[in-house]
Amino acid sequence: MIKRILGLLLAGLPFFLPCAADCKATLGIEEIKAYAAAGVKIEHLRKHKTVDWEKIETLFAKDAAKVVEKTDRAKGTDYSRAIAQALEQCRKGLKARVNQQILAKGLQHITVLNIFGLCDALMRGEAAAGPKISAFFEEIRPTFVRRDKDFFASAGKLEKTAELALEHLSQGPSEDLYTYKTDLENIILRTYALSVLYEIMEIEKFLQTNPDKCAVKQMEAMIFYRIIAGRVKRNSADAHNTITRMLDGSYSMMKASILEENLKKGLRGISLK
Amino acid sequence: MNGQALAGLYPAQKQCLTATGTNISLRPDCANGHKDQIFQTFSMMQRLIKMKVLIILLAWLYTGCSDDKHRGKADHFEVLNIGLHHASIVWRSQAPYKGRVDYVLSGSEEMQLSARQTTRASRFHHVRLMGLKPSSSYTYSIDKTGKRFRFKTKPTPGTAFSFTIIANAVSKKIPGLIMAQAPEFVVCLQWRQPDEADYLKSVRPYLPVFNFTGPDSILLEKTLDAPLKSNFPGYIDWGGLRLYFINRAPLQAQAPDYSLPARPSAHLAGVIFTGGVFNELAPGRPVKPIIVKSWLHERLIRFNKANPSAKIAFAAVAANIAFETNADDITYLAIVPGKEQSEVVRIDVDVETMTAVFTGDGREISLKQAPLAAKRTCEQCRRLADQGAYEKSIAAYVAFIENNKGHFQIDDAYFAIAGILDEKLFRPKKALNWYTRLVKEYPASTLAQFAKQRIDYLLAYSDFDYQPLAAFEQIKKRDYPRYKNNPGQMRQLFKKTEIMVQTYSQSRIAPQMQAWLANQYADSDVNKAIDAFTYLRQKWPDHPRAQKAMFDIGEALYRDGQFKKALDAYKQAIEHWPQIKEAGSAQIQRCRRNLTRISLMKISAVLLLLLGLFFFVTAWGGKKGIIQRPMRLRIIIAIITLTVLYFFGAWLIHEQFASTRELVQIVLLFSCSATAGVMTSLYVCNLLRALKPPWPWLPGILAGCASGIGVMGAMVYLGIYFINIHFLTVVNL
Repeated sequence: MIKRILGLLLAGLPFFLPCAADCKATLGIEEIKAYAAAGVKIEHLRKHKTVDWEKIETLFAKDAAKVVEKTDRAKGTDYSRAIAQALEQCRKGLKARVNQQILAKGLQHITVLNIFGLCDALMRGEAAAGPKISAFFEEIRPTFVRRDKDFFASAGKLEKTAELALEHLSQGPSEDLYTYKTDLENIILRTYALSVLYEIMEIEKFLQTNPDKCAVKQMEAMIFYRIIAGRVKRNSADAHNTITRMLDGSYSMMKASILEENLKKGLRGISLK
Repeated sequence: MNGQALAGLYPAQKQCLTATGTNISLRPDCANGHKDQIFQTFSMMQRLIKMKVLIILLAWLYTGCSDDKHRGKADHFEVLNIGLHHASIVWRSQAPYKGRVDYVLSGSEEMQLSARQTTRASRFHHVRLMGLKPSSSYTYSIDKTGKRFRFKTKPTPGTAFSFTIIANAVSKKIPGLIMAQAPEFVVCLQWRQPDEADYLKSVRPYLPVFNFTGPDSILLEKTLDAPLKSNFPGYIDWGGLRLYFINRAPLQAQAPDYSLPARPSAHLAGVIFTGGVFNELAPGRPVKPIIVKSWLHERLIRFNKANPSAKIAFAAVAANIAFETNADDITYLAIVPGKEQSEVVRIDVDVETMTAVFTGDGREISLKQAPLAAKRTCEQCRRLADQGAYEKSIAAYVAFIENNKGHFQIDDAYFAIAGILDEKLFRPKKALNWYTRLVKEYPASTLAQFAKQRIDYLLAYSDFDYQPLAAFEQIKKRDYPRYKNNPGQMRQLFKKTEIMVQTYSQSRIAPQMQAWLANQYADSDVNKAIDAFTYLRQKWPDHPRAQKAMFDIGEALYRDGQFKKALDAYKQAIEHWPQIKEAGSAQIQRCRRNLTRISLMKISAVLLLLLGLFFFVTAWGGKKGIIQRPMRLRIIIAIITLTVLYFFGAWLIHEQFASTRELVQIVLLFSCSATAGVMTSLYVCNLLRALKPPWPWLPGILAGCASGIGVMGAMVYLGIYFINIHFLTVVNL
């Protein structure tokens, strides 16, 4: 009898161990690196003329899905389902250009949520969080490069500031940790605020010539805004309401100057341009 | 130097030494008997001088090195005493030295600034940072520790901010929990015992911590830095909030005449209470009746009746059981101290609202709500504008107009909205609409006349879609008052105005802008002012400001003290623009008068110089006995007597003097001048009579008197010219 029980337990062990590892609340550094690389690769693949959605789906399932699921559980988001749906729509060719933004920008939102969470963990004295933040950052680095190009003539203003903060954070807890934590948080918020602004500027530009592109830009702006919405709402409920009304409204309501004014109000203390 | 070098020697030794500049040498004619002794002393002195140099060099090297390398470990960094424009950074080091803090506006590309410790070198350092901007985040680093911290200056009353309240700090997790809320300061309800671990250590470089005794600081406890600690008035003012601290001092606080000091400019108020009034509270017992009966509640009610515009909205209390309840519009929040971890409560303060967020479970409690739109009064709308919340104020006025149709203050609301748009937000086009509505809908209103004037002005400069007007108004009314004490910013502002003039040179307001710019230059750079006025005359010759420009050039030159050039400019101004003849002629006369004053000043100075030279030459030439020893005594007696007499006279007319200092200066001037005059008379008179052949008696006396009067007059004139030139008007000069 005992032999049978032991035999069953031993037989179940190979199945139990990966499941237990999978259920761990914290993410391993290798897992994060794979996720970041997958994010960058997906971004690259979806910009091809003929997009291979199956390849993207496989890549996502292999390296990114676990991180997304864990983040959903920890942060109360619902990106696993939303991304799965969006990928299905894309594969079917239904509004692919709009739906792929849920995948692309959703991953960035997941990344930022994880970075902020790891920053708090670092503040609590978890030294291992430092290198993980740097690993996660690789996934959103291209956005920093693009916004540097769009707003600062590729001077690397955003990327360099983030790099400096990451360098200090990766060294683990220190007396002035909070300075670099807020530096990193602020530069992320600034970059995504600029991203929202950029998309609305694009809508203003394409409104007369290419209305189809506006739908894509609107979706991008909406997901970018989700990343910074918490801070904006806390600092100025009025600004948050104005921005959400604008992003949910018609294209004619989208004015970059009004958006910029409200983003400034909402991100009190963080300069935009 | 020479005196000092030879000071320690005997007179005989001094005779054998000569001192030239910094060199000391032995005289060749000195007796040999002294030589050995002198040589010993001399070489000892040289060694001493060399040692002095060496000591100074070593001291310099030590201080130089100690600045950078030998300071030892620094810790206990704290930010204290934060104001709108200043903050104090304190820390401790192992070795004593004079601390330095480098700081910069966070996220800006401005140049890094430095502030040094003003007190003597010590192990406890206190550096005060001045000239900061309100509601701004500053990153600072201490000496060369390589550590960077950040703090935020106090917000202005209309700005939103957050702060956190904790019951106690008994866990390592508390700094992380506090910092995650991004507050501007922390209030800790419990007093930390000196031997307890300081779990807020990592928070202190970023946020000021307060308890009921004032700033909660480890270093202040240790150094007893009285100026920062002892003057805590029992409350802190932060933005538009006044936060009262009432501690467990029931005898004082329960006294019938005890009252909380009100702050007229505050629009929100709260209380942090750390007393034992709520000891009766127990699980299961109703909370509200106990609170309502408490002496604290009675005091708060009394305060709210006396201060309806800034009522106390909440009282955060340390209690053993969790509760929150509202009694008479005051929300009581219990903050329960934990053995493992305290609850962190964040209070979000906005212009009209306050919310408490219990960060543990995310509960939100509204401590103060904005008045309902339907119940909002005109006064409340105005208060919003006073606090700098212009957009909210306009929205509130609009709601007031909507909800109170037919109300007697609607015209006030129209005018207020127009005023905010016009003079605070610089949106003249929108302001014009509201002014026009006021004039059309309420023509009988007393404000309609003002509105008409403003409409005329706005319409006169409505070209280019009001853009130059809005920009110029912004410069005049907002930027100039803000930067007028900052020369760098002012230069940028003038440059911006110059660019605007060039960009909108065809607009109707361009000559006004150019004239404003020229007038501003007149106070700082007369050459630029002249260039600006000249450009105004050339570019817009028919504009009234251009016609007056020549007169303005004269004014600028006059203010700069260039009276001759100013006189020519005034003459030209009268030629070009006869309407200004009266003012121009008056200015010409003032120029001439000032030129005369300058000439007289020069003549007096030359006269005194020549007489001085004359005395020197004649006295040097061996004319002795002119001023005898008894005479010197008489001079001193004369000066004293005259000074006393003049003081008496000056005291009778003391209201004529700008200050006591001026009175004393004039009295001394007159007494010295009179004495010098008399002395000169005697000297000249004696000199002439000592000549061969001597001058006759009468001409000698007359010449002496004339020279004495001349000296006295010249001295008095020169003195008055430099003490207070306006006294010269007494003698029509």
